[in-house]
Amino acid sequence: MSEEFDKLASAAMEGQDQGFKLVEKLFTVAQPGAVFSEPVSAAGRTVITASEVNVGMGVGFGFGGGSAAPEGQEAEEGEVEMDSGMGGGGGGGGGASGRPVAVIDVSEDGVRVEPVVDATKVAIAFFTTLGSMFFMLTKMRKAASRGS
Amino acid sequence: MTRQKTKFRWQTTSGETTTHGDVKVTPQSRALTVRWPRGGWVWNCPVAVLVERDGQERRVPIVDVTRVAQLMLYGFSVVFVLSGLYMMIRKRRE
Repeated sequence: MSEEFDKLASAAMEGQDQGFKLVEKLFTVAQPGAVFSEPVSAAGRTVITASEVNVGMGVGFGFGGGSAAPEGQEAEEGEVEMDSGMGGGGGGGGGASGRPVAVIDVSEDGVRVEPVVDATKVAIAFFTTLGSMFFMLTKMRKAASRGS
Repeated sequence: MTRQKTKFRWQTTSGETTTHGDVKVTPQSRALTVRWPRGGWVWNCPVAVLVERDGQERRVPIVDVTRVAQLMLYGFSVVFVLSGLYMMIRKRRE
């Protein structure tokens, strides 16, 4: 029984270690290499893309075991007889996103930073603003008609 | 693994320098790192490029146009709603 317990415990520890290693890898995203691409040279120009990176992650583990009552000791009246047992579990979750922000163009004429506009995001923000304005104006109009 | 407390870190780092003719370009990024005992979150964005030419160094900022537009629109919407609420409350008191 103890051997089985040790085996399970070591497997759980291994899983836990792998989870923590994965979390440590997450912090490599904080380096500039994750944001700027490798420079590409063609036709007398060098181009580097710059992106915004967002990464989050979490892991969790739990492990426990219980042993049976010592041999010869009977369960008292009203007490449920328990077998020894063990259990454990773990899980994790995370997400990542990236978005191009600008293109750096290096040529003999100089360095230019060309912004990359995400039209979808701007459009969503625009329609949200429009919606909130419409909602507020309707409320104000209703309040004004009630007051008069 | 020792149990760590939640840590915040806000740092600006420079990347590898790229040379094109007599122009040297060094990109810079800024990262916000939040670290808790069993996980973390990293937000990394480009901030500028340092351009070195003829011994002179110049800093060219990288503006996130999408983020600026989003903040302006959401900011306007918050100001509009708050001022509308303020006007409604003032009118009701009168």
